[in-house]
Amino acid sequence: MTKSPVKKLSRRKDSVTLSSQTVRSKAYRKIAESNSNSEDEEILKGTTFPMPVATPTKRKPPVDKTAAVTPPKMQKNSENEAPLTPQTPSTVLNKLSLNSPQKSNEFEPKKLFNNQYQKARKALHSCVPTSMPGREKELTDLHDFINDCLDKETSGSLYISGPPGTGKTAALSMILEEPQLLELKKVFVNCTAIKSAGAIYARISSELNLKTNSRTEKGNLTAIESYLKKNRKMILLVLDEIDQLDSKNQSVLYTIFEWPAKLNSKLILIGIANALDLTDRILPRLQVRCELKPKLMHFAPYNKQQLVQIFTERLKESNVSSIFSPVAIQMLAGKVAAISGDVRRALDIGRRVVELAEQQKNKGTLNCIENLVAVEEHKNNTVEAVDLKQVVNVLNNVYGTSQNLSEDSDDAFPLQQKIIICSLLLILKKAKNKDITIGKLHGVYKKVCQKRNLSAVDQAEFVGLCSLVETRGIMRIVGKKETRLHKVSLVWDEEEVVNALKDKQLMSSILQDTDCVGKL
Amino acid sequence: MVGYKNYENTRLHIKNKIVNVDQYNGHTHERKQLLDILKRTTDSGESNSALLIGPPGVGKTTLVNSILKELQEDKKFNSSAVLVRLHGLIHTDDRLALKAITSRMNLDNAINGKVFGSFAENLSFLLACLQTGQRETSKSVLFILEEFDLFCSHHNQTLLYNLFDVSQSAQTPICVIGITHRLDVIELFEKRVKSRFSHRQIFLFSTHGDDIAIPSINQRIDRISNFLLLTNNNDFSSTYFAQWNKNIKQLMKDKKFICSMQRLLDISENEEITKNIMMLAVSKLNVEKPKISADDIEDELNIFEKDDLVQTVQDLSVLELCLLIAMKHHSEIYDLQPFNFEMILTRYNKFINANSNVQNVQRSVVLKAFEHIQNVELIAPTGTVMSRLQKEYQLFKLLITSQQITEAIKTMNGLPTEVIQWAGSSLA
Repeated sequence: MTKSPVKKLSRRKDSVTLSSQTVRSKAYRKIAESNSNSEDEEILKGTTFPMPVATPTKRKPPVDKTAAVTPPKMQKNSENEAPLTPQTPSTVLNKLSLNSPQKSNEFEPKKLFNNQYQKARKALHSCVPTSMPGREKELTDLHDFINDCLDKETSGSLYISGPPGTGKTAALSMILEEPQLLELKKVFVNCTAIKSAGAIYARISSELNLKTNSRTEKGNLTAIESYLKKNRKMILLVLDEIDQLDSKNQSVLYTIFEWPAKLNSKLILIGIANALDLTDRILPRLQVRCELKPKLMHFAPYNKQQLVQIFTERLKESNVSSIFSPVAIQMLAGKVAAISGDVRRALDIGRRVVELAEQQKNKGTLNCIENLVAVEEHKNNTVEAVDLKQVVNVLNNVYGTSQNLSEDSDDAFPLQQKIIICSLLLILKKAKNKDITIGKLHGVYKKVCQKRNLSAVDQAEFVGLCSLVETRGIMRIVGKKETRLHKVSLVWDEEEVVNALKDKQLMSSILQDTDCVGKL
Repeated sequence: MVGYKNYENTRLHIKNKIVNVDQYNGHTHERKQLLDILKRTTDSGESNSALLIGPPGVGKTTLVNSILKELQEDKKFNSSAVLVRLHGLIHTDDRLALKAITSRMNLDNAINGKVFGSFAENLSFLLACLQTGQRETSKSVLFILEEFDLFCSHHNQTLLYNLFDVSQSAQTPICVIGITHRLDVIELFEKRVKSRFSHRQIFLFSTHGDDIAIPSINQRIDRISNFLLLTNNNDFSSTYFAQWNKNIKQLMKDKKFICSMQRLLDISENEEITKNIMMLAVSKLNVEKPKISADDIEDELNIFEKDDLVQTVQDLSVLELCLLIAMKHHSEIYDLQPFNFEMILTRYNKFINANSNVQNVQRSVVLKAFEHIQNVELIAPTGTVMSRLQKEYQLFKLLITSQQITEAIKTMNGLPTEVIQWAGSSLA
């Protein structure tokens, strides 16, 4: 019924990029129209989930639930009658006009709340920046590498590594925007958006607008390679998250890294991933020939100084430097740099600190809505800086373990669950045999309960309680079938468990009861 | 039969109240946080991501539903935001999830709820749509992912990576809310997904007040009385209405009732169990039994606390029970070593030969009985089942404790005294 429109993918892809605006606005109009649709409203109530109807293809759909709910042959007659001939997405896309209609003001955000805090939050949002403080050296290196290749008209390959949130993709996007690279053919592919490693060829060939008759992986590959032989123009190919292209014997990665070494291919290849030693570890054959060896570049995690710089610059750009005191920024940057050096994390925390400051300020001001505008003006005149306590608060929330979180929120265990954990600790401390099963734990737990004149729950309930404790992450239960033989192990540190329980008296009293362990 | 009508209405009314909890009380702080996040996405176009974490049955979905209800009362919401709800148990892989998203967002390759194109195409199309959006002019999209931990087991976490990536860049404003019961859900993320997530975790624990730490018994009883009291007077005669509510108020003060509630609270803070027990108690209302008493609740609780294995044992025939006792003796003497049919048969025959007044049965019948015990899963084969091995020599282990067997024998009627005596002594 539906032809798989891979053949038309290249054309479709074009129309998407050309008329993405149109596509979107059309989608809006559709959404606006569909508000009258009854099924829609049903979903909006949150009672049902939208059920995609499986298209009848030759393959069996993996889950038959969809078919069970709405069989494909029994379609509801909605107001918009189904077209008699099934429309493929490509035909729909071809019908799109290329001039986008004027946007209505309906979607304009309200400017009412545009106060200092909002500006600060916007400044700290992790969109791609215009300047990258702390990355000047890497940027010039990238420049030199690309310009070298351009001047000599030779191909080259580069592998960029670094932990997430260190600005690898942002740096490359900045380079790609530059004017002297305009005549270059640029292909940027994020490999996470690809279903399997082999599908990368199809993606690249469609990005290069190659006409291929075959839809197979191999056909696309040969098309790309023949194109590389013939082409007279430089190509810059950027593959983000390249470690997703894992395949059998790493054949895909090898093939791609060998392209630049082909005669007159004129291809600049840049791969980006997290692992520092990816090329050495999984691509050892590249070491054999010098011309295959990719140049390596590493983006180190941001240090404290750089993070402070990023924050101050971003806040200065939107004239809200007064919100953060320098001490607060120092504190935040120091903490993030000490743990991961991830700029996304730092910016997220910064945003949350701003939120917190705003909330606490709002509490102080009046709560009525009538004179909101007056309050707005009043606020803009007296923007308080974020104080250190708020920074510490948010930092603890992000980096605090669930254990000290439970101290903050004061959630209490039910008594029985406490006793289970204490029994587990008792066995770990006192018993000779350290491999614990649910059955053994239940035995000890029963004895402990007996001593304290508590009614012990039976085994069926006990297993349920254990799984509840497991969802708190305190212990881990491993096993498949018979619940009695599931292995139990403690995940947290014992000290942390004691702190989380906060019932030191119970703990210590149970831990002294060595005779509950029996002959374990 | 006016009285009969009254009871039917009462049952309906209370069950409705228990099943459809419409107002959400408690957790005001967390609720405000979540509402703020969603509002900021729809009103000022900020992208956000957050996780809502809490034990099962604490009311996570109820909270989200109540927030969405509040948002949808605003006329602007429907024109300025699209809501996409996914469920980890339904959308078991990224392909299904993508189809759902595409059809929900009414993108152009969704026609009449059908989505065309392959997974890769849909993904690139969706991303193209999301990436070309501007912060100021696009509709915002709210993604609500229930059973979020199941989305983490998808291949390469492609969907999560892309959703979080869009929320981290200056594109269409989207808001990703994940609902899960796992506290360690952050540890399931890949590092690159973890970096893109905003680490905003909202924890819900079973405290229904904001300043009360422990879910106290009084709170629990308040909640229950809310469920059981009749509120609208239309369907009932006024005398019946007053009488019913008076009874319920008395029940709430009953010592026995409070005691059974405390027992429940000790087992789990999860409210679903309490609700279920209330449902069962209410279901028994009829003309002969006009009101709920503390004894009813206690009966239900006893049924709830019953050990199902013990009941299974009580259903066995005498021969099967004898075999089970033989297994119990074996485990006690040999310290939980696995056994096979032959060992058990030998032990059983010893017992038969010592007591002449117990009838002797054929080996094949005993084997049948043994297989029946295996079928009700009181015993299970150890490790891998070897097909070359005859079934008499396969090793089994006991899935039930000696205490449970003893308990079952205590409460069984009509057992021969020899069997009871033999069960008590493992030295036979």
